[in-house]
Amino acid sequence: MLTLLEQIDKGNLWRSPGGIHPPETKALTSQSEIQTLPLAKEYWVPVPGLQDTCTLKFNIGDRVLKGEQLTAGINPQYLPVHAPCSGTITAVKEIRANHPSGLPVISCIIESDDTQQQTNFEPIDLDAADTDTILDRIRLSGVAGLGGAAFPTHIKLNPSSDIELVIINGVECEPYITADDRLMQEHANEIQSGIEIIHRLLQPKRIIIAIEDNKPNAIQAMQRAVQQSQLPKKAVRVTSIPTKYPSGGEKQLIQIITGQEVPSGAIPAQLGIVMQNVGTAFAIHQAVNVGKPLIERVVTVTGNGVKAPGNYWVPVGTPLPHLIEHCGIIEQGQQLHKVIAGGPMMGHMLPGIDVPVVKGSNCFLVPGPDEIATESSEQACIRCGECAQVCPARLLPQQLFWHSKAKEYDKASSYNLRDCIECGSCSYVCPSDIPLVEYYRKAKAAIKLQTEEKAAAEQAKIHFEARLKRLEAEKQEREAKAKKAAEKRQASMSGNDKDKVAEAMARIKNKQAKLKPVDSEPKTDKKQNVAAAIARAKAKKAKQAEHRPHKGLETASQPTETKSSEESNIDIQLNGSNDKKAKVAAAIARAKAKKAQSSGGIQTSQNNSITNTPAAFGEANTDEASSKQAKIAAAVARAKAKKAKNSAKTVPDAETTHTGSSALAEPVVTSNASDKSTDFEEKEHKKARIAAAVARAKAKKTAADTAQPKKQISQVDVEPEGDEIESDAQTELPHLDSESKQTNNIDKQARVAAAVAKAKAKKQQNQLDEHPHHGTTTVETEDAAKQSAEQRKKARIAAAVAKAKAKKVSSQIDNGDAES
Amino acid sequence: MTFKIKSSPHISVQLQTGTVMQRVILCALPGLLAQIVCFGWGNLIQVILAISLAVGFEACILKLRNRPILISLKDYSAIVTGLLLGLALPPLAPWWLMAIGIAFAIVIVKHLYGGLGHNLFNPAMAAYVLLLVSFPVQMTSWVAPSNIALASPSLMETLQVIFELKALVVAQFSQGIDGVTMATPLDTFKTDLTMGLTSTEILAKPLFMNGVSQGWFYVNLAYLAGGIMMIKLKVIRWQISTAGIGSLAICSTLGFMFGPDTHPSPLIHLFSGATMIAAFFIATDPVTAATSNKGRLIFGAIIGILVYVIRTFGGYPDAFAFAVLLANLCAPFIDHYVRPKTYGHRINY
Repeated sequence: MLTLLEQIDKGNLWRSPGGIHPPETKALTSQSEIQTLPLAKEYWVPVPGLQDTCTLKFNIGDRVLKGEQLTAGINPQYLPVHAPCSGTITAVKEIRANHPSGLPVISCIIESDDTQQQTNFEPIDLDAADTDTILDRIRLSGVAGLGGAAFPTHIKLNPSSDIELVIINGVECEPYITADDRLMQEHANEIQSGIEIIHRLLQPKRIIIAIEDNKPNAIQAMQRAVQQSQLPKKAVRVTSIPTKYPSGGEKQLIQIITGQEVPSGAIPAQLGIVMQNVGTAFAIHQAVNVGKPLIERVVTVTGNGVKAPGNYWVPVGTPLPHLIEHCGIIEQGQQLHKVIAGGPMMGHMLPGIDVPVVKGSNCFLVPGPDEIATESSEQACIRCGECAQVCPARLLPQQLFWHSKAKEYDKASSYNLRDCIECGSCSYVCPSDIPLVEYYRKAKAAIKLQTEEKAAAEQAKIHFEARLKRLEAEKQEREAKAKKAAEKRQASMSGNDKDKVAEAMARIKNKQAKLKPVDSEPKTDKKQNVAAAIARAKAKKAKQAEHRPHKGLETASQPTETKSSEESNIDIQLNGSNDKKAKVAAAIARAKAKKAQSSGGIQTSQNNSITNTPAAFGEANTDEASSKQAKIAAAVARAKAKKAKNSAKTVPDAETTHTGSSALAEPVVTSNASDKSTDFEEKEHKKARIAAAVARAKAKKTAADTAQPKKQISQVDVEPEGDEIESDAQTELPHLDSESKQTNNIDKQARVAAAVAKAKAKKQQNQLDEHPHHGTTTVETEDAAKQSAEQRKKARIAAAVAKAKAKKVSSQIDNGDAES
Repeated sequence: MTFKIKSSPHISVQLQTGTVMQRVILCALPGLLAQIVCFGWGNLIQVILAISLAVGFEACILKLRNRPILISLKDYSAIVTGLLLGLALPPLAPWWLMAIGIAFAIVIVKHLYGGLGHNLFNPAMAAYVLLLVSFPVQMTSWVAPSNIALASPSLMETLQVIFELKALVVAQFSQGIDGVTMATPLDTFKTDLTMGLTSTEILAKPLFMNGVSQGWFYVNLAYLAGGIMMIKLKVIRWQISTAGIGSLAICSTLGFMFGPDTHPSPLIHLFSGATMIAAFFIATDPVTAATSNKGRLIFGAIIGILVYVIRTFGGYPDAFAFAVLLANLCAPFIDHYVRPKTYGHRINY
């Protein structure tokens, strides 16, 4: 068994499947020497990715020399663009791209001058230079694959794997094109020099120059050049391959030379093979041995539509009209019929003639009227299977066609649509004139789009699921905490000598807590508040009826807000024994808590997470904050409860001196509570809170000054700013309490009513929040609005409005009660 | 200036479906000629009748389907269908038999399935089987080869029989009383075998002079020549015909080796009945055959084997029509499972 290299040395060739033999029509241009084109007035040099991947080194109006580098890349792998002539940059604008789409591409317009002054071309001393220097030179010279794809050459010449075989592609299998043929005939030695540089860079075991056997002159020329080369014998050989389209395709040529197939989706380097076009080898020679960047290439202008078909040295950026005018258009009823960039098999019809010549342009075909078949309508596929016979990729074009046409893209993919090289052989042989390649292109584009959309959707799904997971985890955490706290409380309660009412209340609270998650909906929130208020009132009633003595039931920690506040209220009530004073104090404390909650609600407007403490002002905005709030609420409530109990002990008679006692009790309680809450408040939204508090206090003051001067209000005034939230909360309910007691002594009922009213007020306030000025504007709100500064204006106004409303409603209820 | 964009490639081989079909018709002409020589004018009249009917029905159904009539008729597919059915029916079959057959082939088998390129079954063969099942008497009385026939009908007589113009002539020829019509060689062989004759005795009959089926041998040779011409012209690919004939040859050889007394020789199998016309002109209908090269080999082999099985063990002597239809059923299945390995998809990496 011979190794692959031995077989290659023997000149073995393999067969590429399929393929066609279209009329070559190369005789039009194959005999004419490469000519130089006269200077054009201006050149359009496409600078794709300007501002994106590269920057222009010159400004508009600057003079550039021929061969001067025009752009500098941001990426070190950037392939620069060079000036094809000396002259002035007159504009940088979008022109039609030399691309089937015809979409605009940013281009540098250079007006040429007659001097044709060029930059200094400095050759590299090959003996002294190292690989990186040579590669850098090739890159800076803008050398790209001249076979058509224009892939940066320096990347191909710097592969990550070892290269055993280099194939120099001189096949040129497309009909009409003779650019490589002429280049090989006329510049074989330069190409050979380029090949030597490639050999130097890649150190392959063999270099094969593959040429189709319909170019005997080129084969001879290359063979002569190879014989003169300094490379070791056997290292380079010229191989003539049978003429067949599309043997010049990279994958097909590799199969013909080595019998190997490039795996689907891989590059030849994976097989240890690199392929370069002969034109590229010439350009490498120019860049390294002459120092001349890639600013011109050989272009075949052919077809019966031009008077002088031939091969030309065309500077990159030459406007196509200039090139075609030089070749002379044969009149076809005043206007040019069509121009095909590239060959008739794979070239694209230009959407318009006003495009520049680019590095990948090897041919412009200007067909005569009789030369290219008129468009015939697509007929039914008769499943003749000729397309499968000629497919070089061994695809089943017919099946691909069915599925592409039916838009069954998954099925088309299952027939390996992506391995189609779009050579056009199937369309060429189709007796039903079906534009198969067009169907494949569309299907490929659709599949690409689908894949992208799918990937985006997948990403979104991942994000969404991660979010759900996170929220779930947070919820679990909160629930766990709540449960733990409930258990703890239960344990502490069972250890104490508690009365039955307390037990019953605890059970109710537990049930409530379980039924309603901590971050419950706004509606349940309010309901809960109302329910809690009712429950509290009942508890009090019951307690009053029984008049039982009890011991202190200070619970250690009560994290969940509703529970904690209610619980502390109960504690207060229980602790208050028969003492009415204590009861009043407790009521005040509760009222405060509630007020605080409602003001929190005001501040956070639409956000309806349960907030019993002012700390919730800002934190209520996020779910994460709710557990924190709960703790704060608990702390505040606890502090208040304690305070209330103390005050209940110290002040014996509440019935007579209730206003005074509440006035005494309040400041202490509030300051205690606020001390604890400030820890958190300081961190978040302190400013807002303070501002709100100030506003509220002021509003109250004004109101008090004008309407009902009270003791509490004076206290409010002296209190430090941080406490004012509490004081603000206190101002209302105690007042309410006192009033109601003074009138009818149905304070409990009034309190319940007040709670209900407050809940309602909150609701209303939420609605009003978006239109702060829409609601009934009282003196307070106006004052507040005036005094409020820049920050949190809205929030403060909203708070004021809500407060006013709550007050109004509660007083109305009070009045109603009084009347009744 | 803006050009009209057309996708590449910009050139194409100027071979249209119509051209392909024309070549098929041309290549079938030697066979038709041989049939005229061996069996009289009957088949020529049948072919003309069939093509006229086919074109008529095709035009009608295209009109009904709102399809361009002239363009579609230019693909010659209806004419080929008519031609094949005309060649396949007995030369003296009555005209209405042909009318029913063509109507079924064009209207039901072809257009009700979606027209050219969409039909599952070969129209000519589906029609043939319909007629064979429905009208077995008319379908199995073939004209005796002219060189052994006691009397051959003239052109006029043939016309009179086919169009049933004179009851007496019809009765005279269609009953096979005076040796004008008789069963086909394979039919004869089968019937005689059941009557206890050995193959040597059967082959001694004048129908099998020189060990080959009289008349049929030359007809099959002519179709073989036409088939080779088609392969040369690349109208058809070699796989289906070769696999079909090859598998039939192998099966019949094996059968002949094991039971020479009860089995006809491979020569009789290959050069009797519809073997060559079916292998080259009918089984190769691209629409209803498998499409990949390997698939076509399998498709052809299935036909060959089925033909042998039906001829040897089946009730009908006309095995090819059934075999082709059965293979048509297998074609999508074959195409699904027999796919060539796409470039770059070999596993040896």
